[in-house]
Amino acid sequence: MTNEQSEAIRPKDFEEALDKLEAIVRELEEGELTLESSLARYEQGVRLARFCSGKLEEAEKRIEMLQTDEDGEPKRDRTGSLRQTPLELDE
Amino acid sequence: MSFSPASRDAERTIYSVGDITRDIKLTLEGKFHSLWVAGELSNLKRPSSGHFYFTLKDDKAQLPAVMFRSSARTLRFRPGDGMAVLVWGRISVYEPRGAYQILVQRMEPRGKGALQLAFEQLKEKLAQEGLFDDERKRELPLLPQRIGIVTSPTGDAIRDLCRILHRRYPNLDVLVYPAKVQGSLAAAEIAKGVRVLNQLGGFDVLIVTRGGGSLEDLWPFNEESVARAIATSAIPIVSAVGHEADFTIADFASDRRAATPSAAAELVVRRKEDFEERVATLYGRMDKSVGLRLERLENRLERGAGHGAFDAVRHGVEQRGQRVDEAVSRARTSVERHVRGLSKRLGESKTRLEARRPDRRLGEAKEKLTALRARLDAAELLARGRAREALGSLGAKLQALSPLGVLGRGYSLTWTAQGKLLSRARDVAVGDRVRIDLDEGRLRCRVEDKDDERTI
Repeated sequence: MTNEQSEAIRPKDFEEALDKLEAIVRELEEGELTLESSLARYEQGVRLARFCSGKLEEAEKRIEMLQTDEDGEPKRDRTGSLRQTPLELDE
Repeated sequence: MSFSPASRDAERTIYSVGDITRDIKLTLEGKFHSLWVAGELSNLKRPSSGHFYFTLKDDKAQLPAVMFRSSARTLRFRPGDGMAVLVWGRISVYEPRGAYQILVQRMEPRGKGALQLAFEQLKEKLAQEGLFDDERKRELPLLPQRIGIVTSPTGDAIRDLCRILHRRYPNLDVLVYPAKVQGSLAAAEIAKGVRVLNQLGGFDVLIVTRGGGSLEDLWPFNEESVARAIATSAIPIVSAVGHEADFTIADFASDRRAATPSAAAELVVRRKEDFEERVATLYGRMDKSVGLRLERLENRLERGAGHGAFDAVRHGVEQRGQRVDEAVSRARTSVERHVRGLSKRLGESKTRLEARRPDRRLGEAKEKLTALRARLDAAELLARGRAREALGSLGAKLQALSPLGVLGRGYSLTWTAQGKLLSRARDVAVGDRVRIDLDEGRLRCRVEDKDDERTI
């Protein structure tokens, strides 16, 4: 149970969190759980739902273009990070 | 009697072998300096020099032919014996051997175009290697957050793609690897792009794309190097080349083919609202089932209250001025009202947001969304806090009402064979085994007869 709980709290990705949330909802709807476990599941479910909502907001909107040299290798700056420029797309 | 040839020499034009051969050469080469010949390839040889030697033939004659390396290099298909071809070149006479042949500068398969044939040959070869097998195809991720695109940064494809990506899912991280998508350098650049993005890593999915064009324009996507780069990619790849009707080798090698760049965007990214709705629905179902659960407990308490044994407890509860059913329904409705109400408002504000031009209003709208979300979160927390509080006090009350406490007074707990606590006769059948827990010890019994109605 504790393993299952910590796993449920830290899902690998959105897909897994959604799957687990679905499983919890099914379990709750089957109504076979004790009151205590259903409250624990409810709590897990709330966390998973938040994780999912968080994931949906996570990435920042960025459309960038990689700068490449004549061999097609990515250019890097002195610190070693990739050189990329925002891609301007006129409508 | 035969004539002495010498006696008539003065009347005759006499060539040396060299002279007549030279004359023939001038005549033939002068007349046939540029011609198309249709025939069948036979006796094809390609020594290490890289030149092609072959004979063109039909049912009446044969014509020796050579295609020098510089011309042979431009061939897009592999010539083979028996293939019907059309060649363009000139007749040349090779004086030392008195032989004539055609010097071929261009060759096309007859019937099919050269590109079509090359396409079929490469497709066949890679298919035999298993490069296009279904087992190799990978699922696309449900929610990709970082997308790599190999395409021209100035083409229509990237513009169409990004417009749709952005419309469906405003906060996406997209990195474009700039590559030529037509011409002789394109295949190498596209293949390189796929490899580079794989090396950089961190992408959930890659899209290899270009807009519509002629078969020649799309050709780089039919090159072996591109197909192999796609097939060996560790990241799932969607290909979208040209229009609906255009199928390329890249399409066969990729995990999914999209008919157009726009279709690729739709394939890779689902609408963000769909996800939000799905999470909200699950949330709602979860609340509902916990609510139902509480309602059932409430009913049990009510039922219990009718029995003498619980009267004292009920009395105690009432004395503390907290009716259990009120707490329960308050918790349930406040959770539902707050969460649903705010989800709905969030949805409405999204619809309003969509109606406007997202590019201009995005910043402003995003702030609004964030504020709404913060309010939603706060309301959720509040509602959940209240619910938990109510549940907590309910739990305490249940503890007080726990049948275990009253077992000493002669009550017992009856369990089904599946370990479910039995509270209704209709949940067991005659003949079922049940277990009865007493204050001291337990009984294993079989149901002999039953009455589904309440009897006490």
